[in-house]
Amino acid sequence: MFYLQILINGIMIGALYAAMAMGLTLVWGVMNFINFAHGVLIVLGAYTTFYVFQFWGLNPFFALPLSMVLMFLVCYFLQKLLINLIVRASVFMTLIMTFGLDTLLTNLAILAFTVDYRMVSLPYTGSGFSIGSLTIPYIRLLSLVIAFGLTGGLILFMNRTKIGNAIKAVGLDKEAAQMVGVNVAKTYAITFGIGGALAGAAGSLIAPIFSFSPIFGGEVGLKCFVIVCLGGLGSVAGAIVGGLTLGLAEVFGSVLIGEGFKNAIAFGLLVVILVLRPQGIIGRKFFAEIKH
Amino acid sequence: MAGFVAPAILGNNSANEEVGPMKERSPIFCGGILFFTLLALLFSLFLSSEAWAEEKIIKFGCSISLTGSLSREGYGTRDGLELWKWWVNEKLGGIDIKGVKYKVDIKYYDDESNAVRTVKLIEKLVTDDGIKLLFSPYSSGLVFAGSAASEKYKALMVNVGGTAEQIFGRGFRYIVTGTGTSPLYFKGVLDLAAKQNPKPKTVAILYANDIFSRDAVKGAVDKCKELGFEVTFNQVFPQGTKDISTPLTEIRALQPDILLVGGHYSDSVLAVQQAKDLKVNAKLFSCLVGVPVPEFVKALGKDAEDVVGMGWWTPDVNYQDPIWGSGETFVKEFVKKFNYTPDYHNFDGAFGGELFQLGIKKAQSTDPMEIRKAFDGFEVPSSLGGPIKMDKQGVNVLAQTVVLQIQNDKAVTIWPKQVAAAKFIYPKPPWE
Repeated sequence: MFYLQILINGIMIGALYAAMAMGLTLVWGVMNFINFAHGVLIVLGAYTTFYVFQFWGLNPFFALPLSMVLMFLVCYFLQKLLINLIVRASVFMTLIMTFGLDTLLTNLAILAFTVDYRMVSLPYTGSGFSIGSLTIPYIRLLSLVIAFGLTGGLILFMNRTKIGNAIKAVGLDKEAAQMVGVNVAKTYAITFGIGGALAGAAGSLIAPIFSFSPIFGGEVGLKCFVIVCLGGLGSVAGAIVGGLTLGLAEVFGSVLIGEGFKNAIAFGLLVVILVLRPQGIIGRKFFAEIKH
Repeated sequence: MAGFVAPAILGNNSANEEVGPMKERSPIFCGGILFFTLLALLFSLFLSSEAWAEEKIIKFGCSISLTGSLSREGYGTRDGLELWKWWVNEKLGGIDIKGVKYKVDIKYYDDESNAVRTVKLIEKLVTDDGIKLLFSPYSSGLVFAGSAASEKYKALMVNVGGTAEQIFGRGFRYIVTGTGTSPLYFKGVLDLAAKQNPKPKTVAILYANDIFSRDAVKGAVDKCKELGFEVTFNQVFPQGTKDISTPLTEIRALQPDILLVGGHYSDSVLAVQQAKDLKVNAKLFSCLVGVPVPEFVKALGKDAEDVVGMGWWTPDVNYQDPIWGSGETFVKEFVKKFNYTPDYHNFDGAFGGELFQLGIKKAQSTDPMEIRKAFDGFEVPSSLGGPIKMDKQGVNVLAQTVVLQIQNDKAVTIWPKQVAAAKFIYPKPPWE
């Protein structure tokens, strides 16, 4: 039963990780653009949820769409006005730009919200249901359901909508996509916006689970980076696989080796995957190609 | 002469060059400008020295965490320092050195909770700002790093935020502390637990991988051996982690009587939240840092109830004091100025200031070495933090921790008996 509890813990945290990484993998896979600021976007989503809860009493799970819309708009306009200027530049330039954006947004968040830790405490925080000696907290279960729901929604969007197909086409070959009438600039903006919306959703999910502050963004961003590399670049399902793999590796590694080695386990796993299968567990080669 | 100087300054006005009409400035004019500039410079120097002569100021420096993961504690420490500064300047008129009153001023820099930045800022305080009387940063990691810099420059540092034994065990001369060291932290809690009937048997320890928590846990393990408690779980987690559900799940299976969690404020909040999530029960649940801070109850609400914490001081500790008169006065003035009840981080700042003040008074000097010599064998029968007796390493060997517990959304003192304001609630009820 103990190992079953550990397994459940791993799946729940893994689903959360997957939700966090989805936006990053989408942007990276389609635009070949490593968004260093992804972590702070998640934190801004968490702050949106927190303040909506504080002022209007809206449950974080109902505030999730609001958080998504807000972060979509922020990222859409960021891409159109700023990132579009360097999207054709080398990967190094995009890293520098998003690193600067991350620093700017983090410090603006510190000014606005201070670095005090916040958390959304709901009446059922800490509550859960028990099956024998197994305990499943309600909030983590809800987050797991929503994370899978978001993944399913995104997969449907990418496969069944015109915009989704356009995004996939641009990710595969932007010149060819342009030739068939896809507006690449607009598609990039929408993709970045969707990435931001997913970051906002992840922020809403973490707000009732972890305490957060603006400086949390760096750690979150780094974790997302590991998940994306593990699962496979540009693959939504890869984010799920990567998230679950990391979550399970952390919990079982913690039991077998020690909690103190959790970060070492995560990055060690990354190194192994990069050596043995650089495109990620389920990533496909052409998604992982560097275009420049 | 003017015929040579003017062209040299103003350029050659040869008839062969096609130039426009040129303004001629006489050498007298230039000389006049120079003269008045020099006069103004001398006058301003005179004025500033006059201003300085009117008000003597002792300058202190402090690299403190105003942003970052330790900012809550950093702000608290700074508030304590600011109150001490205000008290000295406004109420006492300054620190008396050989019959002259010196006001105090403190220059702060934000170390962003980063040890590398702490070292750079301390070097800046000493080299750029010329300040050699320093208050430490907050947290053992930053004090450990920063005190190496202050030692290098022979700048005296009074500790206001770090208690790891390693800080004071390096043979450094230029750091002193009015509080004790980390191994003392959990001892009061365990002493209190040992007095309960039936006596608890098993202890689980989970702590963050930082210098302060490791030291505190070392002291806890020694105390457990002394009191006959069995340590059934003892594990470290990475500093700053957001999920400790796995070790907590292991602890739940062991059903310990006592659960000790080491770490700073955010680690304590995380531990309580996730212990409730996973229904990890213990008759005594204690966190190393954070419990006395009002934000602890704000963050956790009813989940904070009955959690035990500790510190070097609580508002219930009311010693007679040579600077403040009494601990009660300190609390009253703090609430008046900052509009909240002080916790031990605020006390650390104010007590650090008091220690410097007493040292300067004894040395009758602001020279760091003279003040440090004054701390050799330094004894004070009663102060804000109780009696002081400095050992060779600059540590107050008479310091003891105070234990508190969250009861009805407030942190109340429960140990030692002479300062207890409420009874210890034991056992902690299981999570619903």
